[in-house]
Amino acid sequence: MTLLLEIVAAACLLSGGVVVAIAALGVARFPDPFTRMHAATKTGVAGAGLIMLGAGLGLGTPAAVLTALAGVAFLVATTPLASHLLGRAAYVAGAPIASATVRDALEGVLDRHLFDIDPARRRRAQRKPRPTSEEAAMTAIPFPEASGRPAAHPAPLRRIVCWLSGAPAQSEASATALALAGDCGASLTALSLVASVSDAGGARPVGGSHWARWSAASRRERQRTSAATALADFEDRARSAGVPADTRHDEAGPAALGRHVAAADLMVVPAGIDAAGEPAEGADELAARIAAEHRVPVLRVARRPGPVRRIAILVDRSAASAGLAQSFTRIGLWSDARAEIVPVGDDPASIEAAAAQAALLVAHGRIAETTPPIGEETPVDEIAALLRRYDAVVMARLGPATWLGIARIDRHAVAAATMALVLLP
Amino acid sequence: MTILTWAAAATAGLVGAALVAVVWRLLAGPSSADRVIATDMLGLLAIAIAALTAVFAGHAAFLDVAFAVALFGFLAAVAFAGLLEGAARGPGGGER
Repeated sequence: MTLLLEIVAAACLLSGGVVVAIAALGVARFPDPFTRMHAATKTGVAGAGLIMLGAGLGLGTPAAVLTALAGVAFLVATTPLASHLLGRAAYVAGAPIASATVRDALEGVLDRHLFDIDPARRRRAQRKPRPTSEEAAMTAIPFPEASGRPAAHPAPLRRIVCWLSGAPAQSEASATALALAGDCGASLTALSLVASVSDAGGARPVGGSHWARWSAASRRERQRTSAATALADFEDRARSAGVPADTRHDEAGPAALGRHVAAADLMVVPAGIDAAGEPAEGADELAARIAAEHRVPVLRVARRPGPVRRIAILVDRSAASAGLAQSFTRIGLWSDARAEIVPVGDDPASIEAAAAQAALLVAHGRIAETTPPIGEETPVDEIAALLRRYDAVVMARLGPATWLGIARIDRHAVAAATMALVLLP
Repeated sequence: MTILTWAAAATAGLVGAALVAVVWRLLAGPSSADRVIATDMLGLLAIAIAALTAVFAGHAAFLDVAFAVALFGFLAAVAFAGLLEGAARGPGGGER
């Protein structure tokens, strides 16, 4: 009896192995995803089920046989579902159908898209910037007249706004803004915005509205304290540098930002904070938000910057980076620095975009050239070492463009972490 | 036990050959649908390998492992199908 059982188990195992091998051959050799799916799921289930059954019988105990039977039943129950979903997804994604196919029964039934070799890698829709209320966007608070002193480096920068907060890089940002304003004779305004009373901000925390109010009030208190500290530091620096500066404090919350920067040419923002002064990075940073809403060009300061002699312009094939060189010349910052256009990604589209932008800069009388691209596979420390040769970087965004990008090394995020000065036009 | 271990060894060889073919398909692609199908097949091969391990080790616990792999393989196939379809449907994942 046990010998018979053993022979049956061995037969199950062997036939299962043969079937699995045939299934794998089908997966490897069939011409299109639909036939491969057919081989993988039908034959594969038969083979794996036979091997499981053989193992259960070979062990011989009732528990093992029952487990094996349950496993086989589960496989038989679920794999049709999975294979149907996979086939449907492949069809909708537009996977090619082999030329031997007689009839496409799903034609006109399912929406079929153009074949994209890897649809999971395509760009997704960006998060839309928050719409601003009309009066916040339209009425500008007038700036004081420009300081009228002779400028060392005349540049079309006339009004600079410096953001005040409790960021770790705040004093460096203040110093940079003062140095810039002193260099080009621009009027400088230091601005701090605190969340309004009604603006609880973000998701409502556990514990209901009392807790939400308490949390908002304490956050506002924290913002006020850090704004006051930053303001004192800013005024000290302005006095010792001899640069006249105007200061503003508003408690109408981030919605009032548009009113305050409406006529500004440049905004200096310390790195690593969001609008509420909390630590943030990537697309959540205040600098990235303001740049994404196209209110005003943003200069993000992460550390104490040196003199700017070489700048890198990171260009990829996204629409946002197509106008980088143009906005950069319009801002007029660092006009005597040597600009190097660095293509991000070694595809022809990025390299072509980089060459076009270099030509534009040269036509504007700048010193510009393109460099070899930063490829997809370049390790982080190599990118950082490459970027450290520059004094500042101009790019379109601070972090991954899509949530799928989080999984890969994002070269923009590396640049944001490496560079002391990032200009987001 | 000799017939059984011999059969299990032969089956292990066959499964190994199958593994090579499926991994080749997984690496070669060319579309992501092919890679997802190859991943699904790898799950089935993992079930077979767990069952063979149960025979070699003489331990029924590995059959439970095979069962768990079957469960996760199903979930993974459903999730991958959703990802493929959602990516193909374009921005926002809405119906077009």
